[in-house]
Amino acid sequence: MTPLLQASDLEVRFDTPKGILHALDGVSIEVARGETVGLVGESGSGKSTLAMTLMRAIDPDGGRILFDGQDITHLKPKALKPVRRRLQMIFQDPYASLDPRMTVRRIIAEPLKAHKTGSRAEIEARVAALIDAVGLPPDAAERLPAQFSGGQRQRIAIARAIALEPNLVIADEPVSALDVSIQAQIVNLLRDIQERLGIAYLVVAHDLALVHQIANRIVVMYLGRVVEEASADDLIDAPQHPYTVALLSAQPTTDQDGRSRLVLKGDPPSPIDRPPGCPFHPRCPIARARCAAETPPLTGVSDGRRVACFYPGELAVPWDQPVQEQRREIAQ
Amino acid sequence: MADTALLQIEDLKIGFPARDGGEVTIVDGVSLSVNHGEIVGLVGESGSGKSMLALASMGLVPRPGRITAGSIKLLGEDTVGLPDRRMQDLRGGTIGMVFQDPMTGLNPVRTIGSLLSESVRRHQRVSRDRALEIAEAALTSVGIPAAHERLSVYPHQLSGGLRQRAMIALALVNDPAVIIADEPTTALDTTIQAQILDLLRAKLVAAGGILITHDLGVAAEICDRLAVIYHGRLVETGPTADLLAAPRHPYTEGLLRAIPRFDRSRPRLVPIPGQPPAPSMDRGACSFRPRCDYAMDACAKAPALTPDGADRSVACWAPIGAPVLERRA
Repeated sequence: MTPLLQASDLEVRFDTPKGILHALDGVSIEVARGETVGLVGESGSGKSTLAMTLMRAIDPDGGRILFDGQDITHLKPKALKPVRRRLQMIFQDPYASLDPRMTVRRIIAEPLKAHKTGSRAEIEARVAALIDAVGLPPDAAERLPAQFSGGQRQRIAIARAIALEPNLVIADEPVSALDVSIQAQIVNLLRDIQERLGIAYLVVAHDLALVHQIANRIVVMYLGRVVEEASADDLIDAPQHPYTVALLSAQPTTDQDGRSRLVLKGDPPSPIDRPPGCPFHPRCPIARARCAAETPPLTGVSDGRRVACFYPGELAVPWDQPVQEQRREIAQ
Repeated sequence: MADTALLQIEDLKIGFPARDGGEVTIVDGVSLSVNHGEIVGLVGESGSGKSMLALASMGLVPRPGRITAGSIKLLGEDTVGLPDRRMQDLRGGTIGMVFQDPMTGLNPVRTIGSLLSESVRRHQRVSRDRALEIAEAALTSVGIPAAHERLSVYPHQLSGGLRQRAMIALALVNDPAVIIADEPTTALDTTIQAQILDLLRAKLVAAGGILITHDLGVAAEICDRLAVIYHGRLVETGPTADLLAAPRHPYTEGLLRAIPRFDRSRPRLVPIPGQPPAPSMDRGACSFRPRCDYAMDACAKAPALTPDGADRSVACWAPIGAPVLERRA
């Protein structure tokens, strides 16, 4: 079966006063029907650019995007409209993504009207059902976004995103602006909706534990490239790329299991001034001469696992080291 | 260990004028102390009053808010109601602060060197050149490479991680007795957060510190003791490991159950139902009651923070694990 979404070799470059910003450098990603793919990376990794490019909000400078087998890379807005119906997005900031002057009813009805899904009465009934499905009270329909908390606003955004029963929802940091006690409500809601409607998700987030909680597969990006891709469990149990190891070990946790952390030195390089060779080599604890000279390609290492490293699996997560105080700083 | 606490907040209340002419209480009777060599984590969600508590410790409660009761003793001196001049001497000298966003914590039109050296000269009688030397040493001590060259750059010319280091250097430059860090890593990437947490741990234990955060994981990484704040009141305090292993307050337990962990079985997250309360919500009953699984009749009256075994306190009529006949209403 063809994947629902298949993007290959995407290139995105921005012209900036300081030079060319290479936001995506040959990124390929697939999402199957009904699955959840997590996309993790830090600022400058290109994860949000990738999400916007897949939504066709940014035109790629190279590569191809297939949606359900159809090439949508260069579709004009009119031809794109039926695709939009099946491909929706949820944003990080529920305060910025909803029109403050529109009632919740109008916000949720908007996509239904734009795609002429039924009579007025049918749309009305559908809006009421959606409000209920995302756990908002029935009287929410007549209120304005400002009258809701952040978590409730994200519910409104989710209702709008699923109104047309899309095949794929791209969610960019959907819970990171919310309070901890509310995050779990939204994560559970997204999971329930997926079970009911079979929607596939591409969830962009910086929180690896959160992504592991909801994703079947995780794709790790660094400086505009995919550096590792694996099933969520494999990625957590045995990360192959040194950057994934670092990310995993840097995750703050309440499990005081006495592990030590691997703390990377330095900042991620600027995407404008990319290092030669492997983009991670200046911060990599196991980098060698070859890593500065050649860029490792993303290569399959086993079933469904891909990693862009000449020495995959060599660096282990320092899980079992005895004392927390023994944190190591690994030199460059 | 010093005998007296470096910072001792006692029964502090902070209020803001309400629209109806009354006053909304943002912080309601909080007591918290920090000893030498100790990092206390203050954990709460948005609107819990945690940042207001930090500002109050610095003498920076924004108008028209005001401290309505209680005391804040810094090295034994009550700072509530101190003249601005005296408070300015303490701020940046005896007490240092690290903010979430270094772009707001660092004046953007001043070089790093002038920001740091000015702070040095305000609190120490040294020459301009000596102040710059102290500034450079502070930058080096927080792991900023090429510190000498960095003295002449502006905050925006540094990366996010280096900016946060520069702000920590500014907080530390006069060797304060107490450092307050308000969400110091929230705006940072995970790998940079790990660097800054290591740095903060090293620097805060050298004095005494309060780390204010919404993230229990971050607090767990570097704090010795935790205080959980909800609706302007402390609901639970205790040594970090004990409190996380066996939370006594239902809110603390709720927070821990709501956080995803690396677990292959992916147990469904258990959200805390409802919303965090608005500061104006009535304080007669336990503030957590509307969201609490264990609420019972007694909760119509707000419980006080009460000692609960060694080193721990909890504000709950029926703390989790306590021998109570009937927990559920």
